[in-house]
Amino acid sequence: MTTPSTVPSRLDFLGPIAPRWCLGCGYFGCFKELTSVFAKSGVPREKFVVVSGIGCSSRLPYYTKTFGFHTLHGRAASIAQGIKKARPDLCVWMVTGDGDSFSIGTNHMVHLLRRNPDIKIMMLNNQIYGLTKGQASPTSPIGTKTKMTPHGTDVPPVNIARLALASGASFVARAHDKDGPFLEEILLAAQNHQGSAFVEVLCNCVSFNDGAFQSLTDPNLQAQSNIKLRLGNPITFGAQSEKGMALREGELKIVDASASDILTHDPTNSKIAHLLANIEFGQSPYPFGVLSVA
Amino acid sequence: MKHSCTGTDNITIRFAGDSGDGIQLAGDQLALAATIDGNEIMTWSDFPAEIRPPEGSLAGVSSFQLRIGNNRVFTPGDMADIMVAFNPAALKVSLPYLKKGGALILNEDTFIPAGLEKANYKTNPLIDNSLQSSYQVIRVPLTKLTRNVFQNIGKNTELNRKEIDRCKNFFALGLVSWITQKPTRLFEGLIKTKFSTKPKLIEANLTCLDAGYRYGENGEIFGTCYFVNQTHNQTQLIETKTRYVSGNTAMALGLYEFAKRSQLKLFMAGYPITPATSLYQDVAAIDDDCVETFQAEDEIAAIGAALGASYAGSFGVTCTSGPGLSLMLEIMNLGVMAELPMVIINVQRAGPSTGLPTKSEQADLLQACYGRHGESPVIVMSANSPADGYSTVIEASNLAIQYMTPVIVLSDGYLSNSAENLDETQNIAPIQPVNFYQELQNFKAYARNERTLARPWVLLGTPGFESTTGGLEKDNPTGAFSQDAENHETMVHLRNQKILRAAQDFSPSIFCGADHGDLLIIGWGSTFGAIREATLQAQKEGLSVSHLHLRHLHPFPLDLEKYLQKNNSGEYKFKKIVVVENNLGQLWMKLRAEYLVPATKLNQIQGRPFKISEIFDYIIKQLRRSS
Repeated sequence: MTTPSTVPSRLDFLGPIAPRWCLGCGYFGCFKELTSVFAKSGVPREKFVVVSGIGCSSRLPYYTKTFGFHTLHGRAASIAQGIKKARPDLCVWMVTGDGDSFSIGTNHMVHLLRRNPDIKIMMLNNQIYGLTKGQASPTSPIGTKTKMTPHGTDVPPVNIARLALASGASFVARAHDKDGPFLEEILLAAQNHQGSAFVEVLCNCVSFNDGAFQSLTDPNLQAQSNIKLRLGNPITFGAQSEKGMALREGELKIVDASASDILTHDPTNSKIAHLLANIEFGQSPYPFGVLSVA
Repeated sequence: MKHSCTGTDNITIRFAGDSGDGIQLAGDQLALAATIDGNEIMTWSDFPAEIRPPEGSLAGVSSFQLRIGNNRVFTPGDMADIMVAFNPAALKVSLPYLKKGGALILNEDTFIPAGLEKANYKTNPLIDNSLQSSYQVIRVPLTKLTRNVFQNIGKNTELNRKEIDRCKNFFALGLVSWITQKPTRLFEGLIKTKFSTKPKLIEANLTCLDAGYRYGENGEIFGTCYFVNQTHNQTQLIETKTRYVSGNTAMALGLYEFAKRSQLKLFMAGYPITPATSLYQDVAAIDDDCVETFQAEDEIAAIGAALGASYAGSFGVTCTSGPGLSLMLEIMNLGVMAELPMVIINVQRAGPSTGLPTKSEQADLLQACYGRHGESPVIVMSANSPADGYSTVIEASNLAIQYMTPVIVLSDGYLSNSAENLDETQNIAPIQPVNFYQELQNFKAYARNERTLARPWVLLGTPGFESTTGGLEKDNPTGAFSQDAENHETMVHLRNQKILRAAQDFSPSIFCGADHGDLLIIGWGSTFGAIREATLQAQKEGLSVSHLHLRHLHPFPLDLEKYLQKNNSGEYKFKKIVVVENNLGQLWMKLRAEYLVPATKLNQIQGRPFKISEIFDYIIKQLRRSS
């Protein structure tokens, strides 16, 4: 039942079961912003379908009051495409995780992005396998020690944004779980995008990978470590926006914000988008926002 | 030479040649012509796994066998009456399929040292007397004669030497059409259709066909021609809408028919795999809004898309072969738990692993019934002949919707490629347009239909019904996810019972003979033809043999038990029961497990269909021993 006002609130999208993630899990924030976006989208509740794979991320459909399908590890992309082909009138959101979509599910994810159906993807990246209690994921930094990899992982992690772009994705964005308003902004942009909209959200796993994103999400460190990209805005960062990015000799360089060639963010510039995507996790500053729109 | 023309009930012809010789095309054209002429036919394609093996090699031999009859023919024939071998390798590989005394037509132009060596012949069989005593050997300079045709017509046909040589299959076809008394006019429309995009070949092939026919008629190479009476006259053919179809095509037509009657959109997702690919392609060729096809990146994606489409209110279908079925089992299991309708067609091939991709086998039965993890029952059916594929998929689709479950349809390579006449106006069980559930009051997602135990199918997007389903166990009857112990046991039983209930809606099994006797032969799938002919032969000789052919492998049909029971005096109705299969005994195992009957088994796992004689000889052995 909708509340007696003309605009739905996110409460209308809350299902009968409260989320059961660990206290302090980054997914609570993601769930809040996603349901806000549903409410703001103008799409009637019954027209949403939330499709997930397997993992803590993928429990999300049970918590929304929409149609939902909790499918299989790595296979949400296949099933979501079938749903969208059968019912182009429905708004299909795929909720997945780093292991679900970039280990077992990589194949289907690449082909989904290549085909570019109108499916929105929220990929919750906590750089660990949480539901199975702490194994390395394809996004875990090299050297990650777990019970399954006691000597540390020996391969570099997948660069998610670069792989998404290489697959032909028409919308690639990144956010994290400690800047709610910015996350909502990005999810809303994904909601409104015509075509596949891929959003990577860095989320803290309090139980098995606590603090992995500390340097990016700590309120005192965000200004220095996050580049918040916004269409039409200069690409700057820092507590006083004192630093920025310029394109010099084909590379992105960190320069003083007073430089004349500070870049203005244009996500349709695929050259810049690829350069931004090539910034590896661990480098600082790290770009957030809509990197690429094709 | 004066020709005699003999009437016969049926005749079996086998074409064999190099993969590049157009063997399949020639055989196919003859089969089509025989159909147009009102005969019953059954065909068998036997070709290599590679696309184009080295010319003249043993590995490159491609064969097409065809039986033309005036009554229904159940098999393409154990042995050919007439064989055409285009080269030594084809002779080597195919000779075992020619009956003693049969006519052996050889292209003598290819029996040169190079060709003989490739076929491992130390001496030339044309001249070393190895063939003459057992067969009627007819040497035809096929390559030369074909080239002469083009010289004689003196026209510039725009064909190069290679294209001219390739027309020899139509010359050979012309010769065989004279032998079988199929006038060349029967082929005209077929050739024009087949080569509509290559017009220069139409005249070339028609000319070669005609020349081959006259070569038989005027020449002295062949004394006898054969005439098979028609089963159907032309009016009958048009009224019954009979057409000559392969097993794969028949299934494609059946799926389309179901989509039209049920008013559901057919969503067929697939991934290429021999021998299922042409089934998918036949559906893809249908130009109708109620049919959509999707080539996925792998089998898992294919069944995923099909399941998603069913979840969304379309009718999801996929087709594959054994290796693909193995990949699909996990998502099929999601369909079992979410109780969604789907049809999965498995065109079985010889395995395990990559196996023999172009050869046939029936060894996926246990995988279909039990391959999913957990207690995961699905309905499993099989088609027993190419034309039977049509009604089988219609029944499977109907059961999938009625019982909200995945249904596996088992076909096989032999059945899929083989062809016979299909009557599309045959009686099919009535299919109602699907009505989605709309009653919101007291709605429980897993409340069950009293008769079928199926849950209600709600159309995705209907307001008020928003909820999430998935692979986790469900609470009975709300459908919320549940990890409760007793609830789980209840749900396992409910899913199991639902599938067992489906038997109440099954079409009858196929039975021939008395309901008691000395021997009962049980079969499933494409062994139908050979078992049926062997049984009829045995019955004609006064032997007490019956044949039961199952269309349903899980659950077993309700009409099975009565044949396996004991009568009032405590004896089994049949003294012996044998299960005939192209595997090591899978139906045999399941029957023994569920009915405790002392059935024995007759198996052949050579990638080919049973010969009638293999089964008939077994019958004789069994009954002689016990008498």
